[in-house]
Amino acid sequence: MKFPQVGSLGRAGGLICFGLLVQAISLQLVHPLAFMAFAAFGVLPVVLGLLDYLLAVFRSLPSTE
Amino acid sequence: MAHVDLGLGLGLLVLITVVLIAILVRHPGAARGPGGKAVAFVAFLVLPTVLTFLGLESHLTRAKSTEFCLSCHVMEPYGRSLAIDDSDYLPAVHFQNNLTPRDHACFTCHTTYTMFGDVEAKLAGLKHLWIYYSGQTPEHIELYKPYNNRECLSCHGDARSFAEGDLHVDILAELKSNETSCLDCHEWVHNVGELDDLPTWQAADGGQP
Repeated sequence: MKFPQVGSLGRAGGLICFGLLVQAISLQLVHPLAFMAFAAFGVLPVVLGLLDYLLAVFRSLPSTE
Repeated sequence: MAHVDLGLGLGLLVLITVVLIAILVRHPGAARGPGGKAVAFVAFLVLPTVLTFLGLESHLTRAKSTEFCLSCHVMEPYGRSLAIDDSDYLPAVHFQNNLTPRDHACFTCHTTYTMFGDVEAKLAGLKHLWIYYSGQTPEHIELYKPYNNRECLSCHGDARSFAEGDLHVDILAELKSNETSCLDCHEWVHNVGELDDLPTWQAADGGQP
């Protein structure tokens, strides 16, 4: 299977970009809730996006069968 | 200034990452060659991971700042207590004479000087966040446990003025073992209920805690 499959990078990229933008905005705010926003809406989507990307990479690896 | 520079640097890195990701999503074929795969690896994995760790570090550093601590409404009187014009007021005399860094005044005295002191302080901060936003803030805020002399001695312990001071020299062992608390004598700490009747000090640059 060729890498990247159609759509796989789009979902991963969307999650990562959303997470990074939330992280960037939260860093501009001096407020106790900014850290919570960073963790919940910044880190989580980035981690999900990374996993989605890695899954797409692993699925594209040649089968050993 | 360093904080601003870090913020700009992070912002620039976020922009670069988003642009790279957008190009690769728009043109998936570009990620098929060896070079493209390397760029995709950096854009989708390396940069987001690095940015997330830098952001986390930036947030944790910011959480040590006086400005951050005083951004919580209930901490406002404690901030005002740093400006009391009375040398008997322990936090005020530390803040006004730079005995603690002014931009880390709260954290310097309210962390514990142990291996995991910073981590414990951050976990306590998360607990405070929950207490504040769930409306459980007590009317009188108190420490969880008696203030440990270790925190005072981490700075004062080796100071000549402390170790050879007439009032300390006879009770050094008691102070080091917490048998006698520093606050038994230095008893004016924050005392937020009495602030309205006390004069305040204004820094020459107009800056206030």
